[in-house]
Amino acid sequence: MSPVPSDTPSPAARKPSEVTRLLVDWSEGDDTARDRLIPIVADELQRMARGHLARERRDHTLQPTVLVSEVYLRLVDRRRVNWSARAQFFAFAAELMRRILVDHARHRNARKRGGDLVKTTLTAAFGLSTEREVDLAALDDALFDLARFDPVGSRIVELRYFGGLTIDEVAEVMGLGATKVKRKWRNATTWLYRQLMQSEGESEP
Amino acid sequence: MTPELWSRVEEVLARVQDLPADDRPSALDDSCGGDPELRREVEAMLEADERDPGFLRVPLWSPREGLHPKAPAGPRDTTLFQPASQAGTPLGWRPMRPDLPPPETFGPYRVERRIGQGGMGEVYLAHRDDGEFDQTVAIKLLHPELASSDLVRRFRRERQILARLEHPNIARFIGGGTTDDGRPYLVMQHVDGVPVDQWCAENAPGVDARLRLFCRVCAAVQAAHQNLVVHRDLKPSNILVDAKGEPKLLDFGIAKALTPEHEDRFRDIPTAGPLLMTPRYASPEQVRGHTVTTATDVHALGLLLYELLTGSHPFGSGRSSEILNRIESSQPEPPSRRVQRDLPRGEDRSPEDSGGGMKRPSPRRLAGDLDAIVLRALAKDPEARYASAAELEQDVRRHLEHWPVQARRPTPSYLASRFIRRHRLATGAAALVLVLILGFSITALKLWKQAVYEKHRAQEVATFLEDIYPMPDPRRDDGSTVTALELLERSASSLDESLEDQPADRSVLLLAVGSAYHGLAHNEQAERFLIRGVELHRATVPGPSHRLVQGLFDLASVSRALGRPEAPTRLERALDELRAGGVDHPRLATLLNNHATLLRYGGDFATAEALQRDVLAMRIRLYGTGHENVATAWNNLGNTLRQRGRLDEAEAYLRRALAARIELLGKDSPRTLNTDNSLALVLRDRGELAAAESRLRANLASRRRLLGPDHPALGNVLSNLAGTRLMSGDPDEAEVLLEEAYRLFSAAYGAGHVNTGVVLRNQAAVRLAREEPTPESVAEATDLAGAAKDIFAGQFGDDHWRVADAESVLGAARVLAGDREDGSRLLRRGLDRLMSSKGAEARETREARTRLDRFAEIAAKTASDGS
Repeated sequence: MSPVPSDTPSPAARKPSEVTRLLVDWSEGDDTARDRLIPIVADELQRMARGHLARERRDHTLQPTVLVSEVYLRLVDRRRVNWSARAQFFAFAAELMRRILVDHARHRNARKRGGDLVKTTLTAAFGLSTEREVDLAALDDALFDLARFDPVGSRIVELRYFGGLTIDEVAEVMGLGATKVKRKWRNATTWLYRQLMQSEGESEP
Repeated sequence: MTPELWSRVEEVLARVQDLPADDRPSALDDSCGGDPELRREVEAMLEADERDPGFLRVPLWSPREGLHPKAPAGPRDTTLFQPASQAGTPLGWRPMRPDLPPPETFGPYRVERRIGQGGMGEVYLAHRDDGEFDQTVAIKLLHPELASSDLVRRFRRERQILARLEHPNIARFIGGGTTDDGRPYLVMQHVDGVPVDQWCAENAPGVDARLRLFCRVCAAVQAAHQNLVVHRDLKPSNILVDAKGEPKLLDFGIAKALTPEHEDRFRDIPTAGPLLMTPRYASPEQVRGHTVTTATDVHALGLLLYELLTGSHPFGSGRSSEILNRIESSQPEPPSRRVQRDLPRGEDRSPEDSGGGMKRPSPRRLAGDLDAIVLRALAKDPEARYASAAELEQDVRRHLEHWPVQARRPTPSYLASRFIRRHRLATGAAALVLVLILGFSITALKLWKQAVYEKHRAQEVATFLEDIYPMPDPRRDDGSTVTALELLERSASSLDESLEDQPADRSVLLLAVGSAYHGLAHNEQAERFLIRGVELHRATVPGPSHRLVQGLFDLASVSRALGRPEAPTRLERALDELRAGGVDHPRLATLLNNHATLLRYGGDFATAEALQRDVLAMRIRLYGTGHENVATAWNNLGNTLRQRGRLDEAEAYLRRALAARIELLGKDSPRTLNTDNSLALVLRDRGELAAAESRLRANLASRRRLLGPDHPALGNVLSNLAGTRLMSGDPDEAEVLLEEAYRLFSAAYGAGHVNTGVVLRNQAAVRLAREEPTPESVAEATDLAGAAKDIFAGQFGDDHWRVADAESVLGAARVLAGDREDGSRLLRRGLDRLMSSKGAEARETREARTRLDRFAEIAAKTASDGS
């Protein structure tokens, strides 16, 4: 067995203090810090995702847990950032995660076309009540549709579902009340469910 | 979908989403108006929500560490370890050396990846697939520093105990070994789940769901305790919740397995200084280095429950040494207060304190039961905690099922509130009123309390009560609600088969049912049950019993209402039993007080006074003197004494009552004003007219101010003031005042009410008091006095003193009308009967005597004039 990816050194890992500083600056209102932060984190995420997704091909599961949190652990000095900076980090990581995971799913779907359309199976190892199959590519499309009339709802789903943020964290990051987040989240996921069920029905012969 | 339509859809959803399905259509009618498109969308949303309420609701993944840093711990395996040799140094995080490469295999297990790291070592997910087994496990690789031969030896011995620990909610211990480089490792069942606190944050289960989850954790801990394994390091990160919502406890017995030699006995394990614990989840005895027992785990369960309910840790965050200090010495804030206190945003606000995404329950939900349960589990003294995890679990379950919890003092109002919650007879306030009016429930509760706390017969009695109240549905098909009487019929009919082998309990229930029937004026049934109850109670409960006395008084009261010839003997029996002593009880005192009031209304002043003196003495014994109930007893006794004309004694009691009521209730309370009114009457009866008048006028002004001009409570004072004015020689004002009193009483109570009768009688007296009564006013007086007499006779029977008093007034009117003989006869008869009922000193008796003298004189004069 090869060592886990997190044990291989990366360029970014050499300068955690820089990432931390950028994150702190950003959380204190310096938006240029965000722009400088994104490429570093995105690189790191991509690099690690490649490792994980490569193995995923073998066992048909994806364990993204480690991805962002390991990137975070690697890049950020936790003693120096406060809670809201952390939430911010994960909020924009959610965006990146969505892109990585969806790209991966589309790539896979494309490869499998010609045979059965196999959905990306995500083993819901994270407290899911039943194991669910979500076609991430379709979900991504539906999220775009949702954003057309409810950009806030779409973003909430992104943060919750792809970023793993809790309701309170979403509320903090988006500057909304927790009750409102919760309500909009519920409605958005319900609408997405309708949308996905619909397109699923249509695609069946 | 347009943004506009969507925002309207969301608006309507917010209104209807959480309504019961039945109520939705009408709410949709209201909300969607005539917009079919809106309605279609909303309905589609509701349907989809119902079909798959969990869709996407659980994140694809959760940052285990990032957002919920249990700083300074690692993601999952966060046991803090300190070798005994470092006992003197402050507790703190010992960083792992991350540079040690993990082995690729542990015996037959192939490592898949690292899933966690902590002070003890690192955790790997590993797989065994050798044709024989197909098994995924978690392997804990211990820190090299732990790899002493001592530990390995100890560990082997513990292994057998741990292997026996089979429980669905405990991660199984599989085995262990030593790597080639001498590092020991443990193989555990792999649990796919998230730490319980995180699970709660993500799934936002309601309080009840959390409590049920907690109960399962308690049950697992209890099972381990029964196998003589103490966890010692229970904390949220050691409790994972799997995909099915089942909790699984990790690392059971690991702490023990890692504890030095000589400390392996179950109930007395002296841990030499801080050894193996996570500071935040340590117990006071661990901090003090005292014996670790099952009570240690109970404390940890208390901490867990605290966090599950409030989303925060009772001892806060900060440096380990500070936390340990607080654990040892500071009292945790009750959970309800914790959630109420809105933490200011700022540096102090750690993610733990924010409770993650957890929805905080309302303080009201936590206040009471849950506060008490948590604080009991967190008691500093292990002896003061729940004796076992099972007891803790049981109390949480009691709370869930609305039974009284053991952690709280069983006060009557608390027991009553639980009872009402358990038996939702009707909705909301209606149920409360029903139960309270019935009174039976309270008695049953006392009984239940008795059973549980004194006799340990909870099960039988509880079962019986459940049988009585099988959750009646207030909205039954016929639309009627369950009446108190129906409930009672149900209890009564089930009484015959219940508690055959518990005659004492059964007797109490018979008495309670009888008393309830009495309260509902079903006196014949009441008598039947009371007689059976009294007999059975006497036969089965030795010694004095307040319930028996209560039953006897109820029986006396029922017999009087039914006109039974044995009524007086029954009353005597009740009084004998009461005066034999040893039966002091608040409820009995109240019952006796009511009984005395009834006796006084009935005209039996002597018995009423005696009973009121008993009540007063009992209440002073029960409450001391500074209690409202004692003030009531003074007031009632004072009134009876005034009625009997014992004015000095009456004044003393009434003044005491008045002072107490002013202090306890304030000077504007209706009760205070009643006592004040009574005191004015004492003054008036004694002839201190000016003092009486100013008191009555002030009283009237207060009542007007508090109650408005049309309240019938003004009538009493108006009537009393009229009497005073009449005695002062001002019949004109008296007449005006009485007109007003009549208006108020007849409007509020009707023309046939006793109060109205009293006004009529007084109006007659005013007419007769005129210096030169005209024939018209004499005729009016005759009519008025006659009407009053009829009212009194109808209400109280012919023998009542009020009938006699009205007769006396009527007699005077007759004399003036020229009917001397009949008039004199009525005057005399009235006086005689007042003498025997109220005694010579009573005001009415004295007035009747004066009246007789005066009108006998007039009669004699007219007779002599005529002759």
